[in-house]
Amino acid sequence: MSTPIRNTPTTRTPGACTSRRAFIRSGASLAAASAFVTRAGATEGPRARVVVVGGGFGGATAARTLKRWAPALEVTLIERDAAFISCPLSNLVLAGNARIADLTFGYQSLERLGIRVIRGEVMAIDASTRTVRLASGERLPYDRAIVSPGVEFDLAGIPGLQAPAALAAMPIAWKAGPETLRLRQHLEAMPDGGVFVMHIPQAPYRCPPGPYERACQVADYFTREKPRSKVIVLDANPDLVSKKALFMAAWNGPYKGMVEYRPNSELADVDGPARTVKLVFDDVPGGVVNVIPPQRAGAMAEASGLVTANRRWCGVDWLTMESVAVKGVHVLGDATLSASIMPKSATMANQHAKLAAAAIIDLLADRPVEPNPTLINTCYSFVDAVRAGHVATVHAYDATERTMSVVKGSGGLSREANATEGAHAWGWARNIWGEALG
Amino acid sequence: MMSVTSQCTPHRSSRGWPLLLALCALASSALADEASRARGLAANCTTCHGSDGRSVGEVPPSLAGRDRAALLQTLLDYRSGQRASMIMEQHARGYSDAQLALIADWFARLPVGSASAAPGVDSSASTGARQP
Repeated sequence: MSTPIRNTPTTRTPGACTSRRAFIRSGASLAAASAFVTRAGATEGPRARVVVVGGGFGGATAARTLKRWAPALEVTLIERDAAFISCPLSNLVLAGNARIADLTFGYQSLERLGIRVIRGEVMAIDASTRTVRLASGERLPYDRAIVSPGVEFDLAGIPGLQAPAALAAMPIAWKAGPETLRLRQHLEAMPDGGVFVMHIPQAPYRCPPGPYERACQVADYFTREKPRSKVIVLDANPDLVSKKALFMAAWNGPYKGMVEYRPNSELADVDGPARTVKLVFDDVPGGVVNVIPPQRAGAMAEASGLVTANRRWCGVDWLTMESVAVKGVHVLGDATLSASIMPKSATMANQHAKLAAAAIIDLLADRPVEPNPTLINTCYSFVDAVRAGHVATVHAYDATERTMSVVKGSGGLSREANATEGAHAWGWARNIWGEALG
Repeated sequence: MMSVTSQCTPHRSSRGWPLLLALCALASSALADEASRARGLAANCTTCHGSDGRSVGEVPPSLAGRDRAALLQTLLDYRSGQRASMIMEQHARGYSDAQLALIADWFARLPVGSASAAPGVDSSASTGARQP
């Protein structure tokens, strides 16, 4: 920063260049810039149609941000569910430390902002005609489309989990909602002295620290209600994928003797009637079984030709979040092929959304996009009812590698989980929910 | 691009006008770029601090309307470690002086106001107050 931006209040008379000079001199400021933009009519933004597929942390935040930053845009959001249920904090529901109602929100604010919200299922995007095709048969034309479909579960390698009855007996609960409540019911029905067995797929998957937080939440519940019970964590990965020090401190501290962690646990199948996780070299029976399956971008991404990596994830241009495969379509959130050390997290989807919104407004106005975008990640995990810890990173665009890289020296873990960070975690949640649906 | 020094003084000679208009356009577009960059950087912060720097429940704190110099100094102190924090020092270390100044300026300019909480399903009331 060569010259600090001064904070001098300015009065402005419209029109002549001389007043503009006085204006620049007195302010040289961002407010001045905003005013220029206003005068040029650009804060109303370009007139164009943007269709957003998926009303989660990525899609809803993108739709809301687009409408707030460029009110002239015609923004349509298509979402399959009537309400939004937050995955972050939903592990607390398993332990009785939060209610699902606390995590459930409506889309009415978006409609009040002038966003058209359609409840429906998108089959695919047809880039050749620039239309979004719904299951109802309706086609919505767009100038730019945003796809934020989240993840879908890949059950191909887990035959025992494919029947609907199996999912009732062993809810996945990796998308918050009815399965979260069903898993809670199973835990409540389990007698003291029982075993909760969970399996974690190989990374990358949605919410890297989420499974370990889940183990802590179940252990918290057991400690209070069923102290002779055990938690067995079967991890396909060679070690904890995220926040290792934080979770180990809990497992070797308050939950010592209760939580058992087994790395390199390769899943073979699951046996529903026997409530047993079948590993390649071992069978692990439990009272309550929770297998989190491998994941990939939501089905409509594949149908739209957006999946470019390992038949799972969607590659994007990190300057715009535009698909590397399909022009005019931007992909956000968990469905993207993550850049290095970039987690599939709610914060990341929120950050993708705002980067994409800014880029889309520029592209529609024929302006160059920001050449050096920055994204951050913040993820909180609760180790009990009130104590949480975080992991944080700052990511900057690397023009040479054309990807996002972690800024050297930035980021880190909490030194310890504590109640102050627990309050921060709830504050983060209220604000990120507001960014999506406020 | 941190300051705009183009001066749009009208010249007596009419031959000066095309150049002048070009400079004005340049200044205008440079400032617009700067505003856009600041908005993009500030958008990094709003995930935790609330849209437009207005925090639902004030934890983490609102940033809208804060004194620019004080806000910038706080960010610089987080980055240097002079000011203790749980998470802010880790974020601040990811930004340059210029970026932190743009962020501080952006939030200082935003008006104080009520935060936008996500509404519950059955009412338009905020659900934010129900939890700790």
